[in-house]
Amino acid sequence: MNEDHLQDEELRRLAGRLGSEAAERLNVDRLASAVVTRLQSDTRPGRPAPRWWSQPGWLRAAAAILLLAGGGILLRQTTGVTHQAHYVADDLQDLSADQLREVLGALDQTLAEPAAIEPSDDDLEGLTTEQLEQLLQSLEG
Amino acid sequence: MPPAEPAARQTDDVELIAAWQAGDERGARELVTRHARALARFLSGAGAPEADLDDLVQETFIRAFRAIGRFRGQCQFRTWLLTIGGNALKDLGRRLARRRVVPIDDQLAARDGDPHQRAEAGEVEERLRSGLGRLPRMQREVFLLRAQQGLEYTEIAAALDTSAGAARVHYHHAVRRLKEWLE
Repeated sequence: MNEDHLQDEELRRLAGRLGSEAAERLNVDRLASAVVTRLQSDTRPGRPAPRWWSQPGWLRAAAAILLLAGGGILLRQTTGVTHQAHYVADDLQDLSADQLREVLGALDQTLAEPAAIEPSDDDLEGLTTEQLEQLLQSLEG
Repeated sequence: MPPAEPAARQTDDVELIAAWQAGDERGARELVTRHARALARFLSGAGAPEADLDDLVQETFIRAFRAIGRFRGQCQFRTWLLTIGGNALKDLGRRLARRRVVPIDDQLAARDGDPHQRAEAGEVEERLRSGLGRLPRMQREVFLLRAQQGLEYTEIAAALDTSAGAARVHYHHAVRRLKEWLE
């Protein structure tokens, strides 16, 4: 060990002791309480909010989604347009001429049967007893 | 030289930070309890007046918790905390200088408390403290982080946003100048 090395060690030892007494006099428990109290009353910009959905951005996004969904439902109800018609049309295009004739025949038969049409309350009032019995029998199968 | 913090302590600190961010105040309390004395030693060595030491430690923790989102684990939490303490001390020096119109270093080097306690601290220690007060801030902080806190150059460099080589140069400049004052 040369003299410089010894001096370095002495310097480090002195530096290690520096401020030790002042640090020992610190009331750490009281200090911790004071820091926590200040943090509790703080807006804490560096601390993320635990509830992400309470953020204004998320609330705005949720409101926009609700508006879009509600508007879509309202549009479908008022215009009566549904995508089901497109699906049926697509299916029919795949059928052959014979298959189409079968479908049309079945449709005619269905329309010709009175029980196939759901009667309204007004129609029921106009039926005779016999007609009502027939209707009930057809509904029972 | 005091040993640097083990890796397990760093993991614990990160968990405590996460706990506090999730709303558990005990995380903050434990971090203060764990690092307050080391921070006080660093600040005292860097020239903090003893009368202001308690407030300065508290202010440093508040600043650290407010800026915790910027802590990416580039260094240990304690090292990061000490650099924030260095900034808080610098701001205190400015405030004192404006208020009392005296040189910053003289203010920071001023000692309060019982003269007998100061005498007990030892003449060499007082000279070291005085010498540290005359060093440029970077040299002073690098010296304290290395000699007092026992940190590696890579750790010091990460905390002070410099290279390990530059940190080593700052340290050796500080040692050379302190030896001159102490001899």
